Amino acid sequence: MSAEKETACDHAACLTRRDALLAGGGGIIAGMVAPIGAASAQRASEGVAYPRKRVVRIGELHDGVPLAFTYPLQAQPNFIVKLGAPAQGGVGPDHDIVAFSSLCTHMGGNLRGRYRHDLKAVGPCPFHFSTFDLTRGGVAVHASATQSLPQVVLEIAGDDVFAVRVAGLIYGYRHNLKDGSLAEGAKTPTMRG
Amino acid sequence: MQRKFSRRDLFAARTPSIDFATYEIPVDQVPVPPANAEVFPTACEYCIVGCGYKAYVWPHDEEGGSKAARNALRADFPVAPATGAWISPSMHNVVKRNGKLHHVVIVPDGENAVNRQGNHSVRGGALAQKLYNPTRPTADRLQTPLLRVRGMLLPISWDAATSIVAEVSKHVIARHGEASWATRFFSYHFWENTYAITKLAFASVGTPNAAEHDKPTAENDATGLDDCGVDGFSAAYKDWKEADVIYISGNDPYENQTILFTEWIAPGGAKIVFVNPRKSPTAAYAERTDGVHLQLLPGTDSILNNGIARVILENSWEDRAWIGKVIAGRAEIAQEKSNWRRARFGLSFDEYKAWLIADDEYRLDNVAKVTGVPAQKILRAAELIARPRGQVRPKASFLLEKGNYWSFNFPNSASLSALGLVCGAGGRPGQVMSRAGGHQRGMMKAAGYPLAKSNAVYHDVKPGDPSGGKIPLNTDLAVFEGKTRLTWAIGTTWVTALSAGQSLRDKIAALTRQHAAQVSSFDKDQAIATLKQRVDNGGMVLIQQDIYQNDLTEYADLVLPAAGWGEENFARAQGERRLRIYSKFYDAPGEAKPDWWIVAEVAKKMGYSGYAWKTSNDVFEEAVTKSKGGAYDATAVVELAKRTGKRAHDLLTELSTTGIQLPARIEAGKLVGTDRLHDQTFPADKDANKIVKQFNTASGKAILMKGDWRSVKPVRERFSPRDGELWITNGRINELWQTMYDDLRKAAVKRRYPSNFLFINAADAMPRGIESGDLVSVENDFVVNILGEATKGAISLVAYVTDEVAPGVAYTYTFYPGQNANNVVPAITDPVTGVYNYKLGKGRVAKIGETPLKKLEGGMSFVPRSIG
Repeated sequence: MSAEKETACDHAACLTRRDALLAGGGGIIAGMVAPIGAASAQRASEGVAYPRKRVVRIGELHDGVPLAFTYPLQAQPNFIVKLGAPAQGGVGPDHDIVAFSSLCTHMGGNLRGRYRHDLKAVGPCPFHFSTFDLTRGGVAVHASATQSLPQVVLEIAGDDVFAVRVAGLIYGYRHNLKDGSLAEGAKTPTMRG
Repeated sequence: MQRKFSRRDLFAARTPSIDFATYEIPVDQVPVPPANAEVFPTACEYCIVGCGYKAYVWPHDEEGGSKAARNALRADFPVAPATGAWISPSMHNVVKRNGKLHHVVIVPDGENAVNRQGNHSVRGGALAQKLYNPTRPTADRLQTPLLRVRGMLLPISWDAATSIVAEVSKHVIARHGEASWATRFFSYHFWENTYAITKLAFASVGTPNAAEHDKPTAENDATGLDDCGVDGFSAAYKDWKEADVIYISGNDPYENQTILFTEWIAPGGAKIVFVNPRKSPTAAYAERTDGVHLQLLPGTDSILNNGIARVILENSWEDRAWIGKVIAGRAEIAQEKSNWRRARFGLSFDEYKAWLIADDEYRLDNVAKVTGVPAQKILRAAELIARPRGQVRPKASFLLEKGNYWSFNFPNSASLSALGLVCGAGGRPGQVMSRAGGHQRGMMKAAGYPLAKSNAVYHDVKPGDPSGGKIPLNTDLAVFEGKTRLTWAIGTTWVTALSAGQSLRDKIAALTRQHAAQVSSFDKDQAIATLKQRVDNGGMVLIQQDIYQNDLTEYADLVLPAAGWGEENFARAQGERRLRIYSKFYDAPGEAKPDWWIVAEVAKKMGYSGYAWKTSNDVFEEAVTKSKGGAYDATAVVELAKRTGKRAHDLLTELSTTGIQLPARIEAGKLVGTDRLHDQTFPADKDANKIVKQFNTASGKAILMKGDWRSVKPVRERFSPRDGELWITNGRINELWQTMYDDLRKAAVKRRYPSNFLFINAADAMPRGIESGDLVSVENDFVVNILGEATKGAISLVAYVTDEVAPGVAYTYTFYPGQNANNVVPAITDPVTGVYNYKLGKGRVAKIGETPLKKLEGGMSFVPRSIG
């Protein structure tokens, strides 16, 4: 990653944090940060304040090797992966770092270990074979699932990748931020403010 | 009490109809029904499997809690995986109930006998999205009768609309005869409606000019299966779980009967012999689980089925004990006086064997050459379904659908049924033959089709032939020949659904919109006089009855708005003959009325008696009387309801989402259902309909029907691709349902398939410079119409380059509105039954541009669908 790009990312991240506080949530400006397919990462929820969590350092990500993390609640598993190809909502210098819920939106099958790097897709789900395209906002390629795989909206600040919200309802929940405690390391905007 | 959901809904309301991913605003919360929400049992609107669902309805300003005691689902949130208690955002909507705003969530019911643990398909999981809500994409539901005045469809009253239909109908019948009065009507949308329609068409009017929504004639579907004596829906779903091997012909159960596959086929572990030109998702599954995919060329099913049967007979792998017990001989076939096809094509076992062995066409090497399937795979298939392991035979079952019987209707389905019978299938646990099915079984006929009035016969009938050979008339042909003066199209797009669609459109346009006699006034008498003038001067009046405008509407004179699923109490059966209630739980839009009511209003104005129904239950109880003795005998349901002082619909409501498998009977005061038909293990001392215990033939034995490849070989040759053309075959895919009347209004579906597609192999794409996301044209200059004229047909599609299809064979969705596969499909009628062979399209494929779908932003996914 070049120093110039780092600066640009830093700048955007600063704007992000300030605007997030003004707006009372992280959603509105996420699109400014996610350079591709921005709208899919916008306004995941009106009036819901997502916490912010440092997920990983960019340097720790290697093409095609997913890493697991929880967000926004401790019981909500996700994975982050560097696809090696540009993606909707992708961050980083190559717009290819994306993160998604690990729970299939059909019946909650765990997709861990099911990433297919050749296809930039995850699946088939061990339950009922749903498969999701990670370059296109987690859209179901072929599925019993009626919802895209929830995409974790990412932001870059310096060398760090932060999770700032989730676009889509996580399997099992009635509300992404209810019925559980915040993930380890997740901080709400007000706490930061 | 939380108000934010109503605000959120207003926000969602401003969301435009979503064509591209980047317009989608993901939802990250759903309302939960409070513990006192009203709960209504229902079943899915869509595929044959008919999964059980419950609709939870409650006032918009209330909400339940996260603990089981505080919500109607009795679930603790977050809910665990595979419990079926999760409400996805697709399961929620806002509707009016009794005029007041309510939330509704439609959730799979984990307690019923079909989709246990709350499993659901991509279709059923979004049922709530189909409901009328004027702030959502369903805002364009038809709400009032429309009359075309001065070229525009404009609202009129129900009284005026039904009077116009009745008066013009009476005139047409009196002046031009009952055969000039036509109806093309759904067979899927509930017994109450189809009963009313067929009562008017067949009992009151007596027209032979009628056909169900997907066919040009009132013929059966899998005719060769019916003729062998096996009902199209004879199997119980548990039979697929008990089978050792399942031969699946022309169907992809994961795509099209998802829960049949994920709950009843895959968990049983049967090996799959998968016969399909596509390497579709179930093909990938079959290969991965020690089965075999026979990727045959389109239209070669009969030679493949017969070739496999010959391998079995040559190796003496047939089920001799079974054949000796249940297969009809010459004496039994001679009893088939009322079925000319059985008399003509029925064979004894010895005749069947002698025929296959004697005809070199069915030699393994030739079968491999014609079908394109390697000989080794054909041998493997024969071994899987028939080769005994020591003394034990594999339990083989057979599943078929439109890929089989819509690419040469009779020989394909007949050859399959004969293959199944020699393998021992047909009415034993784990050894069954059945259609997989498309839509659910919504037909309850009030009267039989008046075959005697049809002027059509099997082409090869000789004068004095005792077999008769009369077949139902072709309703498209009647239009082209100018015999049809009025068509009432109910729940069908007609021009989208039938072959040579563009030629059919041209003809219908000439008879309707382009005719000189056009209504120019709201004055009822003047409108009636104008339309009478139309029909007396070679034209046709078109009445459309539906829930949305569609491809047919541009030709319609009158459009009548129907109330559908969730908007009236209805009943119908699903793929193992399970009868359920489909509850009314919200208000139909505007003045929309159930089809039975509309038909009754018109029938009364035409002067017919017997249409004085007050409720849908009245229609249901009358309709059930016609089910007696058949595969869908529900007379016991009405009988038990009467004994206990209930309405039959109320008894069905008590039976909830499990319902009862028909035929039903009463034992010790309780309803008892029927697992499978023709059940050779059914206790002899128990009383049941003949169809439960025996095959559906005169003798009660099964008949080997001769489905001869030679009868269609020259036809297939004539319509095969040449000079660089590809086969353009077509069918369903998982996410898309029929003519997409609901899918067009479901954001997630439009996101996945914003356009119809052409699956094309890289070997065909590369030389044409085609990549995924390109706009391609398909043109066929040999779209023979029903008059035998060569017409031109064309469609444009988005290319999807994939090895799901073989070189030379491309595939597209059949009924995508405005991009109809049938544009390039000739109206080739099956030589025996007259049914169209819809799968046999072809055309030249060329790149004509790029689509925005090729880009990453807002693009379409082109990831292969059959992975893993």
